[in-house]
Amino acid sequence: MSANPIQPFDEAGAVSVEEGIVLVDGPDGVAIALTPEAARVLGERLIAGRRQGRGIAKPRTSRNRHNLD
Amino acid sequence: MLTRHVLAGRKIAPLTPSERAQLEGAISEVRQVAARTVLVRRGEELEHSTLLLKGFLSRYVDDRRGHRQFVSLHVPGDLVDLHAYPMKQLDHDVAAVSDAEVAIMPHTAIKAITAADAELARKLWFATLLDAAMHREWIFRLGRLDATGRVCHFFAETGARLQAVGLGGLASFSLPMTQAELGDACALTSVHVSRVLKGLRDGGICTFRDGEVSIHDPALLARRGQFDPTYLYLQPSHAIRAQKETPHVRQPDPTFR
Repeated sequence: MSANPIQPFDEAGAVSVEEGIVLVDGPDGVAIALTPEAARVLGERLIAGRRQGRGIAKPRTSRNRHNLD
Repeated sequence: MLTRHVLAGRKIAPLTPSERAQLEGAISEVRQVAARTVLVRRGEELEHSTLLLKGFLSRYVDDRRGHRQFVSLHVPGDLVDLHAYPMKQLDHDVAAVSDAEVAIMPHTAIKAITAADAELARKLWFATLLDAAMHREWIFRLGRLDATGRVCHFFAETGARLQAVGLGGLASFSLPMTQAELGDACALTSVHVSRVLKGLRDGGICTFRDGEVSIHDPALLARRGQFDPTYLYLQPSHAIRAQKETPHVRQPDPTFR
């Protein structure tokens, strides 16, 4: 097993809009294009997921993502 | 000479005059193919393989919704479907990206030349292994790179391959693809490709216009695409040119010995 197994990212991907389409880039291999409505639904699901995840996931930092601490 | 680009610029002894003569003797016909013509359908029974002489071909798989994923792009000198010789059918389609010229090599002829000349057989095997190496790199590209990284990697790879066969340089090369096809290669929508190209142009890294790629900052292109040409098995002179612009960006896992 790798010494650096893939860890949850503590940095969000970038979001931009082109020709009315919402583009999400990163982190890592994420590269998707969404209609505005799909982006809204995904955003809501992410926020709902965040609520569920809080209190379960340990705090993440850039350091422990790379197994440095 | 129909086989002049075969294995050109790669890290293997060039074809000898005898090997070249055998390979050319195995060609039964040369065909002109218009852009967007399908040459081979997935699952079709095959009795020949194809050598690309001019232009660009793609291998691709379509999903249930008709979204196309290129699984490789072929440049002149590539034995596009030599794997059809032992397998007799393909698990993907083959189509012309641009107008192209192809040489048809019947499997009976391939069998004869590989049976007669073990060294030529080894070189043809090397050609199919190059395909495998590029497939591994394409998995890396789509799995680990964001949209800009994917396009940078694709441009860097294609430029290096064309340079190896003497059809372009690292500074500019012809790539007669649409933005949609670039998206098919990089698993991106056309809109996303458009955005990426704008960013690359504004950032002074490269320009893609009218089927021509102009690379303004090769070092930045390579770095942004994490491009390391080792997997292309280029001759040292070509590799040095491609590598010169490429800092070693991939970090080995220190726990692996």
